[in-house]
Order: sequence, then structure tokens, then C-alpha cells
Amino acid sequence: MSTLNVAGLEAGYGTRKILTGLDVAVPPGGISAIVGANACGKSTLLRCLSRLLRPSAGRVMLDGRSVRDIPTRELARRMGLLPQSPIAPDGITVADLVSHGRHPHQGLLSRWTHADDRAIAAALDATRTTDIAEREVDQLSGGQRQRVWIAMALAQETDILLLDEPTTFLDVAHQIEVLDLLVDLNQARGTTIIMVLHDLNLAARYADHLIAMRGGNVYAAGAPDTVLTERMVQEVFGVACRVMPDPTSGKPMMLPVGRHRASPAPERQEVAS
Amino acid sequence: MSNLAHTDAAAWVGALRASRRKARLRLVAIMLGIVVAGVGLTLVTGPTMTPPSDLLRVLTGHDVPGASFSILELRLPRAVLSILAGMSFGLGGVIFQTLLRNPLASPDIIGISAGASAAAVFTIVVLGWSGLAVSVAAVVAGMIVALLIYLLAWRDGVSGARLILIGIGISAMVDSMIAYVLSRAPAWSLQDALRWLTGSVNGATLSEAMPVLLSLVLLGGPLLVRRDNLEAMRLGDDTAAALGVPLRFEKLVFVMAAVGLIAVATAVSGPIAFVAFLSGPIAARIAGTGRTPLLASAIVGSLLVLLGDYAGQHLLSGRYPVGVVTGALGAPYLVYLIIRSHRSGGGS
Repeated sequence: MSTLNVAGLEAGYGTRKILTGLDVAVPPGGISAIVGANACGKSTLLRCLSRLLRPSAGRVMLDGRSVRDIPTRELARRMGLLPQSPIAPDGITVADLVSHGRHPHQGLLSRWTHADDRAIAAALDATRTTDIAEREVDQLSGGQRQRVWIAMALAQETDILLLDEPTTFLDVAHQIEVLDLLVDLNQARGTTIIMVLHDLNLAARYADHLIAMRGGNVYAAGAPDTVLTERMVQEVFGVACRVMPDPTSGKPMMLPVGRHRASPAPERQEVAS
Repeated sequence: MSNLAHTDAAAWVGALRASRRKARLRLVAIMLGIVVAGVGLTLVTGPTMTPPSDLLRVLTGHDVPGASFSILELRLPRAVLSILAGMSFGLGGVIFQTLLRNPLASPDIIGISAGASAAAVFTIVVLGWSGLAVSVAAVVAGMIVALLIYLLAWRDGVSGARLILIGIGISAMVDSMIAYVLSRAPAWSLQDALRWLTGSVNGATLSEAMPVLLSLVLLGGPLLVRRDNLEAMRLGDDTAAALGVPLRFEKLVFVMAAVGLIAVATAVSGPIAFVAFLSGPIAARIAGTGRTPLLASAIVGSLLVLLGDYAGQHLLSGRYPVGVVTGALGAPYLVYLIIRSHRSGGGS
């Protein structure tokens, strides 16, 4: 099982610095969710973890070794990434797209092996996309398409899988479907999953480990029970909320309080009467 | 899921891939068959038709008075150059269009062919060079134009649309330079001038075609071997990088090889208009777009040049160089693409 650690990470785009000396340890074999307001550096952190972005300072360590020192292909055999908006070429079939996951396992001249076929078949099976394997990706629904992309990442057979907002653009049924699928993978294969999620309640329910970010740094990290508090939501998202146990999972759940449509607070009712 | 089921499923995945591969090979074989038929047609057609039996005898080494010279010295070299140049343009074009995700990003639209052509015409007319030296100059000029477009289009990264517009501007500039050099060489005929402006395979010789064959083998071959990297890059830069593709290196390899293919062919036949631009989209229609149609584009390119030249020589009233014919085919498609991208707000 691979461990991923970040120490003193600083990164940004051009002169704009986004991450400001961030430290984080990802629990191996668990599901971690990175949450935070827009532009707090969630995706930037994910890009640094997967080496898409070179940090200006600090290090990302995979099993005690800087990811900078790991050859590109070897890194791709150990860590997969599903970006926010991957591009499906026109007319590509599901099976062909999923086959791309085998890329880091193949040399320039070595061709398809039985191990490749097995990995592709298992990835299709795990994501329940075997039945649509011969269809073209651009004709699928949003939920199916996301399962296909996850299948591609699975065919890569990595210990660690990073996902950038895997549930965006999906309706609620497909959001749950994708998250359930990720839990299945985590349990069946022991894959360490790190994802950026927008929905705090889904993050708290599905992740073992929450990383709440604010202003390019980690505000709090730990089990959802300790991280998802009314105070955290106020300070990280700038919105008042109520946190209560989720009746289905027992995990914390938050309901935002806006300026309108909120029933008067009990104390004030007493004053009025 | 039992192990047995997974083994079956794996066999099924393998069979699926094998059947698609077989379908692709069948298509390539059919297209090659059309090329062979096209070559046969051009070899027997002249002022008078050569009977196919005479053609066979000539090709098997017999001397047929009245046919041997025109077939071996005139028509065969012309057909060979048409095929090789067409393949180079088709392959170079589809690589640019794929990497930049835009059919307008073809080397003959964005000035790379024009740059190579300008270098060729300048070194031949002004410096009196010939042969390999001209090819080298054309390749260098093609690279310089590519680099120039890239640098001018750079603003926090390179956007495809900006790169294409800048390329079209540079192409116009370079074309005017070609026209200027040609105007300073009054001894040249209209045919020669047209070669460097729209492309022609007039007066081709087998020794002229050699550098084109060489560049196809040395540059096109390695591209086919590493095509998986190109396929991965079609999934987007982030996905490709996560799949272990060293992006910067691979992009450089593909662009340099594509520029080399285009430039070497241009140094011999001139920038045969729109062959690079048309081959990829036509091949995609035939072969589908699930996989970059590299081989299909190369073959479509060779058919465009071969049959375009045939039409220009024998089907139209008067004789036109191949570039005039392919130009007439490509221009309406260019207008169509520009109208379509404008309607869909392709400004970004």
C-alpha cells in the first residue's frame, strides 16, 4: 500500500501563488476527500500530487520518494488521475477508451498481453460497463461516461487513484452511483482514493478522511466527525450552517442557513412572545 | 466474479480488439488496392492509351518500342512522386490536425508548407542549389515557421484558434515572398512558378523522389510505432500525462516529424495545395475517428495527388498542375470549415 505525503508545498500559476506551504498526509488504503470553497487550491493540490504541476517549493513524497525522481511511466503505474474534464475522441468505443489505461504498462514495441486483456475486462466488470463496451463513448449518458473514465483509470491498476470532482455535471442518482463505485474499489482492491468533492455532505458520508482547505492551505484534516463542524463551514465556506448526524450513515451532515427562508431562531421567538 | 469468468471476459476483450484490428487492416488493403489501380490507370494513359498487355511487358523488363520510354521515364516517376508526396502531406497534415484538435490547423493552412516552399524556391533560384541541400533548407525553414507561429501565438499557453490565425497571416506573408523571388527569375516558365505556389509533379524523376521516400521511412515509421502516445494525447493533456506520456517530448517529436515530412515533400513537388488539409478529414470519414486515421490519411493523400494529377493532365481541357486541381477541391471545404467554426463561435 502506497503512502502519499506532502511537505511545505508551494505552487501556483505564473506569479500567482495558490498553495502556501501546505502539509498533508494521505491515509494509505483510505478514501480522502478534499473540500473547500472555490479557488482555495483544491485542484492545484491534486495537480501537484499527480505531478501535472511543478511546485515552486516543498515536496510530494510517494513511499518516501519524491515524485519528481520517479520516471513518468513508473509513476503512472502507481498513481492514476481522472481530470475534471477529460476529452473522449469522437467515435471512440468504450473498450478502446478503457484500453488506454494500459498505456503505462506497455513499452513502445511490446504489444498486448493477456494481463492487459484481464485488466481491461476486470475494469469493465467493476464499473458495470461490459455491456456497453462496444458502444461509442459520445453516445452515452453522463453517468455512464463517468463510469467509463473510471474504468480507464482502473485498467491502469494503480495503488492510488486521484479524481478531480468526479460527480460534477451528474444528477444525484449518478453522483451516488459513482461514489458507491469508488467505495467498492477501495474495499475490493484496497485502492487509496483521493478526490476533490464539492458536496460537503457526500464528502462526509463517503470519505474516511476529510481535508478542508482555505486560502491555499489545509484548514483541518481528519475524520469527518472532527472536521465537519459548524465552525469549519463558517470559516472555510463563509456560510452559517447547522451540523447534525446524517440519519442514514450517522456521519455529520450540514444544512446551510441563508438570509431567507430560515425559521427564526428559538431564542428570538421567546423574546417576541 | 469467478476467475473463469474473468478469463472468458479477457479473451472476449482480446477478440474484440483483434476484430477491430482486422477491420482496419481490411480497409487499408482495399485503399491500397485503389492506389494500385490508380497507378495502373496513370501508367497506361498518355496521348495514346497503352494496352495493359504492353504495360505488363514493360514492367516485367521487356522493351516495348513506343511504350517503354514514356512509362518508365515519364509516367512511373510521376506516379511514384505523387504517391510519396501525397503520403507525406496526408500524414503530416493529420498529425497537426490531431495534436491541435482542429482541422484548420493543417501545415498548408498555417504557413509551414509555404515556409518550406519559400526556402526551396529561394535556394534553387537565387543560390542555385539542388537535391538534398534544398530538402534540408526546406526542413529548416518549416521548423522556423513552426517555431515562429508558436512563439507569436504564446500568451499564457497556446490557443488553437490564435495559432491558426497567426499561421494564416504568416502563410500570406511567405507566399508573397515566393511570388517576389519568382518575379526576379524571368527565365522561369509559368509551370515552374506554379510548382512553388500550388505544387506540381511535372517532370518528376525517381532520384527526386528518393528524399521523400527516405523521410517517409525515417520520420513516418517512428511515428507509426509511437502512435499510442498520440492516441493518449487525444484524451487531453492531463489525462495523457497521468497515463505516463512525457508530453513535452512527445509533442516535440510528433511536430518535428510532421514538419519534416511536409517540408521534404514540398522541396520536391511544391506545396501541393490542400492535400495535407483534406486527407485527414476524408480519411476520418472513411475509417472513423475512434483512432487517428494515420495510415488512411497517408493513403488518401497519395490518392488525392495521384488522381488530382491525372485529372489535371487528362480529364480537364488544357493541362493543369496537380495543385490547381487539389486547390479547387480544398478551397470550398476551407470556406465551409470557416463558416462552421464561425457559427459555433469558434473564437476561443
